[in-house]
Amino acid sequence: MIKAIFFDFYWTLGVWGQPLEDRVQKIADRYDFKVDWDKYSVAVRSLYGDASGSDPKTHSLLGTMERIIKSYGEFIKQLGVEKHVGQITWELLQSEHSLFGANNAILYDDTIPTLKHLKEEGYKLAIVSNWDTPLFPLLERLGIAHYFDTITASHDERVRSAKPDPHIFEYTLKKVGVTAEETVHVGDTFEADIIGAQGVGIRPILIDRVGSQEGRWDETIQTLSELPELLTGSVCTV
Amino acid sequence: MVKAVFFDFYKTLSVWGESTFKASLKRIVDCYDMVVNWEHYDVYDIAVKDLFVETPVSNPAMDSLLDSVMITMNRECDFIRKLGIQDHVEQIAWELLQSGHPLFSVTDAKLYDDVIPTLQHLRDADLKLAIVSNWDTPLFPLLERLGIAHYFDTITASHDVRVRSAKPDPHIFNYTLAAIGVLAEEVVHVGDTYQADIIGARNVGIRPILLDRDNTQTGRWEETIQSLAELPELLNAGAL
Repeated sequence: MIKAIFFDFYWTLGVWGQPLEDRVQKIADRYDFKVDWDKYSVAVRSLYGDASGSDPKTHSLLGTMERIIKSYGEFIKQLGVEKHVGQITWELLQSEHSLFGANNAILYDDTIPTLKHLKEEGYKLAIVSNWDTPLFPLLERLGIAHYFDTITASHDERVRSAKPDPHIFEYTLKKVGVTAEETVHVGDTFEADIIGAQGVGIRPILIDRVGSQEGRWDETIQTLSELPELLTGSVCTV
Repeated sequence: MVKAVFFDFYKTLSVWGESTFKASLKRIVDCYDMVVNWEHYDVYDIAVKDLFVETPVSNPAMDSLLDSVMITMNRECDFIRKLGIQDHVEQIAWELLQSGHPLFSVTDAKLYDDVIPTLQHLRDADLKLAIVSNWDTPLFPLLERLGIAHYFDTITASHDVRVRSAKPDPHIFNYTLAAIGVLAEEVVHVGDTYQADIIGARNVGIRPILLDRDNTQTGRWEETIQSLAELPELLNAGAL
């Protein structure tokens, strides 16, 4: 019997709301500079950005902060900005990076109704995410922190393990107090979420919101609203 | 004729919410299963004093925002260590900053009830609006999060590298006048701090209005209001 549901965060429950290009343009308008868009595609490669590709075992917040500040500063300079580089970098980080308080994340429409429903049904809920900061502050800002019994981020110093590594799943099982057989894990990334969960004996469910992974995994859903039905096995008759 | 209204920000439009520094700290420490002896006042009080009271006064002419980020983070780590916490220090410090530091992400600022109705009213009356605030980061991201950025023609913060001047220094007012394109005689400035807001505005020829929300500055300045709701009437009266 299923007692707990684990969720990946990014592309599963939430996503950044506005493309980087739009946010850069918005800041450019406020600072009266012209972005050299020819240089953008090259500049964007210099972004350190998502540190979840870095090694969670050696990652330190202070070190990451320094690297991120440096790489975003370089990015801004490469766009042709000459004045106020430090301040513009900070403004971009405020809208861009969860280390600095991104206010740009949004939830998918089906996220809150599904979490609410599953919580009411008595399931325990958890996040298992490859994320380079603790996720509680961001989830609190999004108003969904209280739905979860445990929020596990790979680069949290208490975790230090990224999917598909088994430890991050085992850590979360232990925190929630359930066994692998009592758990399903929902995520969008085949290697991290499906192979990772399967590796520890958790039933994986692939969420394929854009329909780009057809035929890849047996239990696949396109929206979270399909989840309750899948779990009870009962067909909803409307 | 009044064409523009300048506002101070903190304690004029907004104030930190109820969750205090200590409450946030307790919540985070609990999350980490750490034990802090809160009853041992010496330790906490001394650590807090070092963190806040002993903070060197920041200098708008010199400070670099990104340096401030790292300095602030390091100070917060020292504070956590002084509480006797040895594990996960950087991470706990970061969580604490996330719970209420404008350099990172203020989730806890709130507006006074009279702010949005007043801004809307003044805007409808075709007045130009601006913020003139002594603040150590650009204020746009915070005002946007609070949903009021769009009311203002200009948002001026003292430590913005384009400004680098704090009230009562004339430059921050002159900068804002130039940004909006109005003359000092056409402007009123509303704020709660006598030296910065009243003396500062008066020195550049802007009409100052003192906002005394909790009634502690009675008799200090002639044009004093207790709520922003009094402002539209005061301005109409001035224009007659």
